[in-house]
Amino acid sequence: MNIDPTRNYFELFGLSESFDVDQEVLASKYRAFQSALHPDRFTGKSDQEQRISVQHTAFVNEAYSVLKNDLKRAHYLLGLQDAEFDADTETSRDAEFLMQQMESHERVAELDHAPDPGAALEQLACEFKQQQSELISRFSTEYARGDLDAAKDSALKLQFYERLTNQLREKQEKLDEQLL
Amino acid sequence: MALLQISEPGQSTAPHEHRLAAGIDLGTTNSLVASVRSGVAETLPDAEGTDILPSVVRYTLEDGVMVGACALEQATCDPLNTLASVKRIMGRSVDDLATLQGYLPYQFVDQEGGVPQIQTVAGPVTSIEVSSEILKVLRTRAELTLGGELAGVVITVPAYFDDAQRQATKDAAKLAGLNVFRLLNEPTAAAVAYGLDRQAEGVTAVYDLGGGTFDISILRLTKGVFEVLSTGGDTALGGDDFDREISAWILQQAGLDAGQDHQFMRKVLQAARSAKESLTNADETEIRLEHGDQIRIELRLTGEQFERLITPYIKKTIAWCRKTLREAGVEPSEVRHVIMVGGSTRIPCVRRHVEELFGQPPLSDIDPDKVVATGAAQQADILAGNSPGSDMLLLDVLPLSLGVETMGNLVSRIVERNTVIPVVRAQEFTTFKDGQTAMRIHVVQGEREKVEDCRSLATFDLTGIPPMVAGAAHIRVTFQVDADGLLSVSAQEKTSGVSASVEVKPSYGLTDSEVEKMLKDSFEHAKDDMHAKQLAEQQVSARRVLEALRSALEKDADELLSAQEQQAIGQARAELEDACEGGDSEQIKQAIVKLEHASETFVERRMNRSVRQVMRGHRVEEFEQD
Ligand SMILES: Nc1ncnc2c1ncn2[C@@H]1O[C@H](COP(=O)(O)OP(=O)(O)O)[C@@H](O)[C@H]1O
Ligand SMILES: [Mg+2]
Repeated sequence: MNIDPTRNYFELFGLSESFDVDQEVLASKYRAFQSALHPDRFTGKSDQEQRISVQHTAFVNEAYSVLKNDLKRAHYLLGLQDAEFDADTETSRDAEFLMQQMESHERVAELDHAPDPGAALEQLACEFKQQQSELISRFSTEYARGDLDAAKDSALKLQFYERLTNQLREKQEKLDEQLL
Repeated sequence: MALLQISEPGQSTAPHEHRLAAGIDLGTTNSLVASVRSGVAETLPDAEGTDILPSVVRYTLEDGVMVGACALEQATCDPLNTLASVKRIMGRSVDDLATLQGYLPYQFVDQEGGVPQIQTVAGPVTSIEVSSEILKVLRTRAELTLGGELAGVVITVPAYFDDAQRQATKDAAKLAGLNVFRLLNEPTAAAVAYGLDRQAEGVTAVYDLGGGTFDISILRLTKGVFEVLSTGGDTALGGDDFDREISAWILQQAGLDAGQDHQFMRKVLQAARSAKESLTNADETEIRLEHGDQIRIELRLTGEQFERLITPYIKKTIAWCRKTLREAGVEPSEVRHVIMVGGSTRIPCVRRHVEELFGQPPLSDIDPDKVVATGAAQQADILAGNSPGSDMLLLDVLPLSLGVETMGNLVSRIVERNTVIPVVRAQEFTTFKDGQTAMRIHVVQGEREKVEDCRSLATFDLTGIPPMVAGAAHIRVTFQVDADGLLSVSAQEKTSGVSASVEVKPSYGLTDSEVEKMLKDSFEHAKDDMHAKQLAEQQVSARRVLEALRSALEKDADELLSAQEQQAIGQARAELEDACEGGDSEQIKQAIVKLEHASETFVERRMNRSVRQVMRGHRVEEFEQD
């Protein structure tokens, strides 16, 4: 089905198994793979070659989409260490953090009543981005020193920001529609 | 600019022979065919010198099927047998029609589910068959002009088309006897036509407002690779809406109601359309219209009034632009080029709104009607292998998320929209009853949480699961989306390794066997023709397989295969060569399968070797040139 299901994504891209990834190197390797394997390179060939090309490209695409995204990469790294988590059922146990998250959700909900919702939204997005990047660097340190429990907790917390960001995007879309 | 070198095994193997290829813009309103001749991509005119083929098909009892301008001319006197804008119902279900029917003056056959059929004097037809009639005309035009059979075509589709709509387009091509190299998003084709792939790097926005659809795509070019960052749009917004708004205005001004009078309505729509088009170069225009003895209309439409009528639609397109830019993570000011596509972008106030949003005048020096077909032709030429120097690679994305139905009518996402394709994702399912041997998976496409708000694509019945206690079977279902954006599904039980068989029931489209049957029916009166055609087709594929294998073996057999493996391939090869000499297409087909089976490991090894070469990382640095 794929190039070699046992090969891990980092190995495939010639990167060391760490959270910090040189995105330039990653992107340029990715393009090299595409150039060699993409189905468009095989239009005149046998069905068999086309099929295998689709499978290989799909595998490379999947690996790339994981490695280039912070949260997905964090998740994947934890999986490699058998410290995987189920985003749907598990959550952080840091009570203070959870309180802060509830507040954040309330602030998103209250956006509609702000005098200038657009500006308030931008401000909030900025704050969340800041907090998110702090968590990302925390994960990176924790993972690097092998503290998997702490790293897993940070990854679980990052999940919250994913949701907050989605909510903000939905709000923004509603605002756009109201402008019509 | 840095270019990526194509590497083995993608390189063309045989000394190159020119293969005829064409690009087809299968539009809602108009269709065109283009091809690269002497290095230049141009649209191909018919015998009268006209490039544009109106996407209109008329079915008659005496004169068979008429396509294009001649069909359009008869639209008013034979409205129910003259089918226009069928692209709107491609891949749509009978249920979907409820929302569209007001716009389409056809008589649909009363039916429960399935592909909707339109009643004509020549019997019921589907949108797939109607589209194939348009494609046949374009195919004939191209083959006469280019002087030979087409090796393959690139057909463009709105970036927003879902799986069912793409599949329907491919089925129409198959019915028209065309080999589809690739389905290409219309906006991507437009960017190719402008040669942006050879220009500086950066972000491009393509704004396409045609007769029936609106599309906005945000593309990024880096190091010779095009990526579609995001796409958005509305499959039911375009010049037709403007025509209807003007028609409603005309009737209101005249104090009339068209009621069920299809003929009169067509006349009003045609008057509206020509008024609209003449406002491109004038501040106001006259509308004159007669119908029967009673009705005489004379009106004056100003540009201002026209703008008032269409502004809500244009604002909607601008909102889509913002949304799509946001999804791409791009600010309007970061966009390097804006391309205008589609006849409706000639309207001055459309251009004004677009210019305002992006803070720059859009590119429009290629005819907005021809730009998509031109780009498709260039891509077809590359895919045919006719321009070995070109290393352009188009990376495309999935336009709408794919998911499966879970408990409580909710959707569980499997592949997010805007994921680069091809892509493969696996998901595990388990049995919930003891001894359960079958399972049904319902695949939907769309962004909403509830199943009923998404489009149902297909149900997959998995059978042959080994009986176990509830929850013990782990069925790994693999969802694969190919480079055309089309989904296929396979399944395997993990502990036993038994592969469950998957039967696809498309919710809207035709099953493979239905397409085959239609193909057969169309050859009904020419059985010998069909056999001859099948034989020729098999011989062509056989030659292709043999040739590709020959050169690959010459290069790599000793490195990658043991003597025993070489012998096995050699034997299968000889069998295929023998089969080719005979006149039995089925025998050739089987021999191909056998040879492909025998050389499976070889092909895999070669592909893996390219993977290793890229991994070692010579390639990019080695071939980068300035
Ligand atoms: N000068 C013009 N002014 C306004 N609309 C125009 C003009 N020329 C063509 N159109 C409109 O463009 C639409 C067809 O555009 P086209 O790109 O061919 O559509 P499609 O892609 O849907 O087939 C029609 O609605 C037609 O009326
Ligand atoms: Mg078009």
